[in-house]
Amino acid sequence: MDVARAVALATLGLLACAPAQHRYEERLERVPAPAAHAAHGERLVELMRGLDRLAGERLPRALDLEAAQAGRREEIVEVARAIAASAARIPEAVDELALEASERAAFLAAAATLRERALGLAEHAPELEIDALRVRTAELEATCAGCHKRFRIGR
Amino acid sequence: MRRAGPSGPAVAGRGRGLGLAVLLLATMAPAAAPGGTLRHLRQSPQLLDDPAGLRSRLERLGVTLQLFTNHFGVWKAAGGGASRDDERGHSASYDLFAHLDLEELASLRDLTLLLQAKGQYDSNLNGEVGALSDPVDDADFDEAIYLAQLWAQQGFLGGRVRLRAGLLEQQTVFDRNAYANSEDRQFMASFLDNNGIVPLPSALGVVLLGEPTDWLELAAGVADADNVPRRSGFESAFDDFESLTGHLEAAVKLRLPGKRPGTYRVGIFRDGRERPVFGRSRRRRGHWGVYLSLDQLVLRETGDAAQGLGLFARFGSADPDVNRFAWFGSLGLSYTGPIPGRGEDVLGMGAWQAVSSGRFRDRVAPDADRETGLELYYAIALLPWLVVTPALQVIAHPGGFEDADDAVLAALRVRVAF
Repeated sequence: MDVARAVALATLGLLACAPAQHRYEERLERVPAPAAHAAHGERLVELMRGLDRLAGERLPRALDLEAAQAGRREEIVEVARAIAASAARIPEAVDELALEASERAAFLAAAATLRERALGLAEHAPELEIDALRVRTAELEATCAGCHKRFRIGR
Repeated sequence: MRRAGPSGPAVAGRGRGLGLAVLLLATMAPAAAPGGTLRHLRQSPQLLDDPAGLRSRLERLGVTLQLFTNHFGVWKAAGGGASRDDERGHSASYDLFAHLDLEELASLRDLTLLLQAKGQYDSNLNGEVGALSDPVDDADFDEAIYLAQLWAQQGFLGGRVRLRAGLLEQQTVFDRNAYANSEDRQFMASFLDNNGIVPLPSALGVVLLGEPTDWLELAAGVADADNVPRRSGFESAFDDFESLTGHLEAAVKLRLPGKRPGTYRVGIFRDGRERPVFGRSRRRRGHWGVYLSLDQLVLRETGDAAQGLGLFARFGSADPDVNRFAWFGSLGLSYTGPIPGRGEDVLGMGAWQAVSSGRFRDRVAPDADRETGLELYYAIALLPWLVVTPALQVIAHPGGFEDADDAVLAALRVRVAF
């Protein structure tokens, strides 16, 4: 009976929460398609943090951690594909930026790199070991950050 | 350990357990995956796969639900404490885990929660064998459902420091080992799942975990030594400091060339249980001991990170005035994917020895010497969610007494992940 009460209380508590995935979907609704990669990137960081929290944890050996991580890995694949799709539309925004020819080329090259790395992550995320997955995600994040630092309006 | 025969509580427990299993199966029909039910049975890590997408939706919200059941059949061919050979026993358990990542779920940064509910019944032969090490670690008592763990953990400094508090199984934190730490998936004997000399209470407690560097982990914890399973423990946890069991552990993580990880743990403990002092008419708490637990992947098969040969060893020593055995050691190997085409199977072989305390021998039992055991198992992953494990155990001098007949046992474990 104590277990049933605890589960019921926990369920009620959870119903009152705003899960990260819902917040991500809300963010996506607010941004135009070429800029959606930023929301996807934030979600990717959240997912990687979640995987990290499980990977290094001292949990009961009976738990199947690989199975527990499968859902997040699947979402990493989906988010990486979404980043690639969004990166393919970044050139649509280039005309809104007053860029010189060399900067324009660098901007388009950065968008292409982002797309390439996102597709690579989507392809390999299901089987990569956690360390390698962390490196790939960090590389993708660095690509985003580097481009934003250089080109974001109001920098 | 409380034991029950095949009637009474055991039958009632079995009935309730069976009812629960039927209810779960009836209410969680497998999803109609593309390719049909047979395909998901062959590929999914869980029998129920992803019913109506519920499991994957929950995982994306940070909620992991896992349900397992383990059934053990044991045949004692010869020896052991009981005079009769050719005895058979059976035990079973189920574990329901709910792991909640509250950062994902509710923006509570670095906060996680674990709930473990458990049920089991025991008609096995641990008592008949009379060994210091239970041949089947999973069989302890009869209970349809009880709360085994309920704790919350808050991380600090990006998760490098973590504070865990609640109803804890200390064995999930201390004396861990990659290859010999789960009676559900690895060795069945209790002295190959944990160090026989290290007290690992399941009780209200607190644990502080720290990772100052990527290669070093530190853990410190205390828990109530007087708690009994299936009790919340509030009545005994806060009575006095003397009845606390504490651990300090350092774990060094090494990675040999070729991505072969290993962990080398060293720890000390203070046992808060009240124990009689051998040969004296008094009892005492606060016995100290030390332990080691080592595991190392030594051979990694090319192209598959999960396959390869791992070695493990444990050692421990504790106060000979109050411990029936004062020295403990175990070692062994585990090979994942030992046969070509059977990449998920695991072959394990391990041995332990518990050496009687000199004080126990001098003052209580002159014939006490040492117990030595050997277990060989082969876990056959018939399907990703169904693992059948035959095992053999030989226990020389069960109980550590020179005149005890060596026990020879065969066991079979069936594990189903729902």
